[in-house]
Amino acid sequence: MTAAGWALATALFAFPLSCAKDSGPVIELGAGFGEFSVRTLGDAVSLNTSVAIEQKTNGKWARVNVTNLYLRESCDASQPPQCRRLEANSKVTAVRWRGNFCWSQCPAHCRLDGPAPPGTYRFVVTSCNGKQMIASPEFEKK
Amino acid sequence: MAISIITGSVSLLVPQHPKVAKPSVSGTDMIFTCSQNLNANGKCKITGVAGDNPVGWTLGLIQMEWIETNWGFYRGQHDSDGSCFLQRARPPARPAQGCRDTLAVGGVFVDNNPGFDRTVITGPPSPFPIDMSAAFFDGPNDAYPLTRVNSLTGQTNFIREVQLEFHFCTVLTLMDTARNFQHLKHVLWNVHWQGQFLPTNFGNVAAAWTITTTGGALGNTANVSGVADGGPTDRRFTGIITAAVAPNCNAVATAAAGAPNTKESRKWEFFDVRR
Repeated sequence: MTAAGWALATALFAFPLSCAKDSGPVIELGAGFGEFSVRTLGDAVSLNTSVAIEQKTNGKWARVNVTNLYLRESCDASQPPQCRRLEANSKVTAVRWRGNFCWSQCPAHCRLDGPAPPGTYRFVVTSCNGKQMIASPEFEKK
Repeated sequence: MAISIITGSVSLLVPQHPKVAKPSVSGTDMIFTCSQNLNANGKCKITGVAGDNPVGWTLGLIQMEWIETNWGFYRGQHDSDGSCFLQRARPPARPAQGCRDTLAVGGVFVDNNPGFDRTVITGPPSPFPIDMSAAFFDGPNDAYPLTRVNSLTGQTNFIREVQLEFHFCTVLTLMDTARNFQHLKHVLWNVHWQGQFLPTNFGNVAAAWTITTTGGALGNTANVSGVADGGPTDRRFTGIITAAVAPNCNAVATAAAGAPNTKESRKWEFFDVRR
């Protein structure tokens, strides 16, 4: 195995990344831009409600400064809790990502804002204990 | 000879001025948005001699907000339902007016136009002279919930009036490898919204609202100054422009919206919006 291969294997061991496992939660993309949902295939799980976005540049994923994006089904005025429990075999369909950095999902309070640039992106959710990171399939922003 | 800016090579242009949209309802919020972003483009050209190393030199834009007006007035359907005044722009909700405007907390240069918002010279550098550019856009926005419960009366109060004023200074800045900053040009700009609101159906806020813009000629406008040489000299800017620690505008605004200074009354009250 090459050094790069060992590094990748080490990284995956330290911070397991799941795209489609038989028993863990998965992020599924909807038909429209920015639409996504989280589905548990097996056990219940507690997830951070804060959703991150990563962009692929030169084959590498890097975090993008998107804020105010949460695992929530509607835009009510309340701040989502830090963690959220998803029961076994359940599904949460989130309010879609609008494509912006700050007003990313629900009306927000932004002094600096604007659209993220075109590119290849993915959603990332982490478990509340920080041990698991779940990434969506990649998608394109035009 | 040290690395220097070629005389006459510096420019800061604002090819697109911002425009504010009329306040409107989005779900359970009254939203205040821009129908057109501000665009700003800066350029300069640096030169030096053989042996000068420009790696790490950065041209970028620093934006600060220095004035914010931000209050909302809520009123019940009936006088006995009470009223509320939410102040987001005064301490303790907003500890200070000035803040630095970046997406990443702690950042100095604006960072919402990746790949274009700055030029960082990386090695091996091109031969002198080197063209540098920085471009960004911004469309500030804010929101107030359509309703809130008045804790004194237990009744729902409805958003009745809001005034927002966000004033910014955007600076074209060159940074060397030792983090010495040269502020080359700057521009002032602002966005204002003010309006009065009334639901057509107090029992169903999802129904249409009557929205009346107020505040006179400047109540709902966006304004951009001419471009000035150098950096701003006012202490409200110099204290935060490149400080290691400065309040982050988006974080400050979000915190103030979450914990505004709140006054409530058991009747329809005339609140002093200056406080």
